[in-house]
Amino acid sequence: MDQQQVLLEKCLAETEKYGVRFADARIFSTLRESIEMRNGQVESAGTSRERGMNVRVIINDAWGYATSSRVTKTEIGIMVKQAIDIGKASSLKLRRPVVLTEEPIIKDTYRTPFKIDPFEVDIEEKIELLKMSDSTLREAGDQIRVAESEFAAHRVELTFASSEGSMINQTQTYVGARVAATAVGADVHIRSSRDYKMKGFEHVKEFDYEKEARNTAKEALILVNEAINCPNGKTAFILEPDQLGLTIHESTGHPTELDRALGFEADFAGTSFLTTDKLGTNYQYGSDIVNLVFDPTIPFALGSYKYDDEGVETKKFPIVENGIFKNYMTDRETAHELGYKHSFGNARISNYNRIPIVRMGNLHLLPDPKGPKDIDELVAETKNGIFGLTWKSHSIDDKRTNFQFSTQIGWLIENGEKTKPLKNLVYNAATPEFWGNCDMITQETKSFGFGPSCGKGVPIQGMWIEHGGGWARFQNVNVFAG
Amino acid sequence: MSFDTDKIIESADFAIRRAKTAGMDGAYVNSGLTRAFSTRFANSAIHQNFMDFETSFRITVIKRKKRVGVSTNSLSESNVAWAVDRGISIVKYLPDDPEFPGVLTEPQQYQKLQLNDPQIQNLSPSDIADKIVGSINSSHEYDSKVQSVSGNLNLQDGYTFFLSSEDQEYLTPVTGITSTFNVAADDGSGESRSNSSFGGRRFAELPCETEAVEAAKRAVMGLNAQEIEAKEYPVILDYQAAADQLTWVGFALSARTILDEVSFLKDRIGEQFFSESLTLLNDPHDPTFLAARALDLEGVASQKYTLINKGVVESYAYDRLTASKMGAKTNGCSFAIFDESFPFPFASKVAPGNQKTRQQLIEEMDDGLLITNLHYTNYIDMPRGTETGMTKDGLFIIKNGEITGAAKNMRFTDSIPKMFSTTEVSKETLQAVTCFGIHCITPAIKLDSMNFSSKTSH
Repeated sequence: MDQQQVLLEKCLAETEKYGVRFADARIFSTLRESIEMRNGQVESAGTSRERGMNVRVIINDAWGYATSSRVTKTEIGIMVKQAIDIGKASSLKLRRPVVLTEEPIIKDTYRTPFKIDPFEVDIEEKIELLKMSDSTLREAGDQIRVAESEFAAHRVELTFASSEGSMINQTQTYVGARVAATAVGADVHIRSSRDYKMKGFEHVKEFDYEKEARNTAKEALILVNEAINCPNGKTAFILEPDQLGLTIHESTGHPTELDRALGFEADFAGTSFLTTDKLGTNYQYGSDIVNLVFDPTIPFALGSYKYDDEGVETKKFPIVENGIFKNYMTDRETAHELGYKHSFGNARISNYNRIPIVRMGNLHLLPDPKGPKDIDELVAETKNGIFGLTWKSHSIDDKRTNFQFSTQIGWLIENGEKTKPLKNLVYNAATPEFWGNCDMITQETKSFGFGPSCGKGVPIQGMWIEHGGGWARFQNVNVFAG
Repeated sequence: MSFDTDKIIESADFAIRRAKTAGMDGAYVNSGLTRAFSTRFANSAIHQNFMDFETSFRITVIKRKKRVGVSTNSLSESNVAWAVDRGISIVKYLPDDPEFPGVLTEPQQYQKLQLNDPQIQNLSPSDIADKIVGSINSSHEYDSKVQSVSGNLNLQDGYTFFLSSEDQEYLTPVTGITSTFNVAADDGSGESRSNSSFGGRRFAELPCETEAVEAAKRAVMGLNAQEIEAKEYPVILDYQAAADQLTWVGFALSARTILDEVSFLKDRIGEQFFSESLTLLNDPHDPTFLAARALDLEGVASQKYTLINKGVVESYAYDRLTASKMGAKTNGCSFAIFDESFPFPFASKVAPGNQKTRQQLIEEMDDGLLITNLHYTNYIDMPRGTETGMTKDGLFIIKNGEITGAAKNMRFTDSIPKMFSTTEVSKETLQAVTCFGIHCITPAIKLDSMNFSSKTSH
């Protein structure tokens, strides 16, 4: 038993003194490094290393939770007492006794694989990559006024123990790269490219800063010199997997988090149009080719994890199957409340000083085996329409029905061919209508790691997510120049 | 709970000496000790509740024209030494930035501000739960149509500390409390929600019960909401909605977005850009303001200054680097959101009008809308100032000077320069809290026109 496990065992033993019904505890360590180059200068370079622990108890049928940055034997007694006091205070206003789903006891150690440890690579090598990217961006032309190149690495080690007997150690290593070009002409446009993966430094090399910088700068210049405003009106609309990923995240992911549907997020993020009475009623979420799957088992994907932060082993499961709403994402408490036998394993924390809540990980639109082979075939099969690429801005209402997103660049499709580049492309839709109008999905797929960019909860927690799928076409989408 | 402030001073001193001994030109430490209570409630019951003890420590080492920041949360000597050594090992590889001004050598005079609640030391979890439970009950007692109350209360109490190699030192106790009450009412015709977010420094004075009842009143008033046409309306942005919009103006006033060419306020200094009724200050020296602080993250003394004077853009918000790049002087606005530091007017305060109350603004409106809360607002195109967002839990119809009912939520898509070109501001101001944890003191603001682009069914 290592030192962390000894501390957690001591913590659980301490909770027993108070007669708790359940307890779990975690030690959470993070290591981060990021470098941001802007116009040839390293404007931000930093590292952080943090470690902390927490304990959660059920006492008087209520949750008590306490956390501390002091990971010591002495602190355990203080922290457990605080959790007990908190639990007793929570029980003053309890809706119903906290009950959790029964889950298997797990003892395991798991590390995500990588070839090159990003924290062992010389800083010099990272800066050289960014310099090369920066000069490629700026050499594209004088109209590129701001060149940004970034590198980030993040490692999380979480050791989890529960009074039920689970003891899990899980270590995840993430890396990411990003380039962006701001071009100034008659107006100003930003084009960017980024990808994060649960890998080592090898992913940063695979990202190919030079190629990404060249393409990014080229398209930024197209936006200020050649692009026309997006036309207004209803049209056939194609989304590439990156922007599709954002659309999935906001309009499928969040409304299918069970804590939202049960009202637990009403004060901040909102609730969900997918109310619990719709589950199991063949609620038509999308057209029959729409299959949206939560899959935390995808190798190297940013939202992959073997065990959630309640010690539940994760698995692939459908959110929407053949257009029908099938499942929510859950933690153990919400799963029990809705009558699921087991949790789907979506409880996550972003740091030791945060509480486990229901989170997304990898959520993808499955390809249509009968659909066009790739984007070229999809465009060829589209007489007239618009093709939108890469997140620029997003907004969605608190029940996740009315969304309005904009893309960095678009293309007009005329007679089955991509013709003119488009700028200021905005699309606005209602969620079930939008997914109901999905009429084509390619066989080819692509997946994008979004970084720790999903914010949820109070205090807010950033979570690592990955989305994508096939290139998809939607009919009658309202687009305009915003 | 007592805080070992000697330990953070000792650790910072050790770190700075270590950095100097290793040949750094200078260094500074931002550190803190915090006890936090975070309680969330939903469906009229407490469902998340925790207490946290937090240590923060960040050293920034400076060598010639470059710097590196390293953070940790343990004050053990080995950990602090690791942070210093890590910074030193990175900084040597960085290229010099000729425009980085180097070590801050000008002596700073920090304001003495009372920012804590001395009565809070013995606060227990049950004190907080009692306050929340009482407020939930009051909300239900207001009207039987109140179905459920959701919300949160976050309290932070502790010390912040700054020490630099130039012997600038500042230690102060700080308390900050923010809270939201979101009330749902239902009379069988459909749900109506209303929201109230607020904050303060003194727990005993935090108006949870008042705000819970106010939110309940508005939720009941919002029942039987009508679907109205999506088009241009004159609107009154109530405090929370006004604060949301001013946050976006704040981003456009950041020297970072000016340098990045993405602000619609680039090259607008001296220009009459907004309505004459709009004056926006950065006022970090009002101790009742949750944004108050005596210094920024770089150790520069914070300043009260005017950003927008009667509609004329007067100044941007600078940190030392952006000020140097723009040939200006820093005004002490180095700020951080999600661990990313940049210049931001973190203590935005709109000067109140001297003519009309909020109620008079309503009474003078023939046909318009009152918006109490906005949700998920975002720039569509920041260089032009175009923006979108939703109304949430508070959209009311005003006819002939009276609130006549509620409207179903709508999406607005409009331009900030246009919306704020014709405004009137009320006499009363209120401290609001936005979703980035940014605080703003603002009156209610009337806009002559706001464009609503689509509707919802709720």
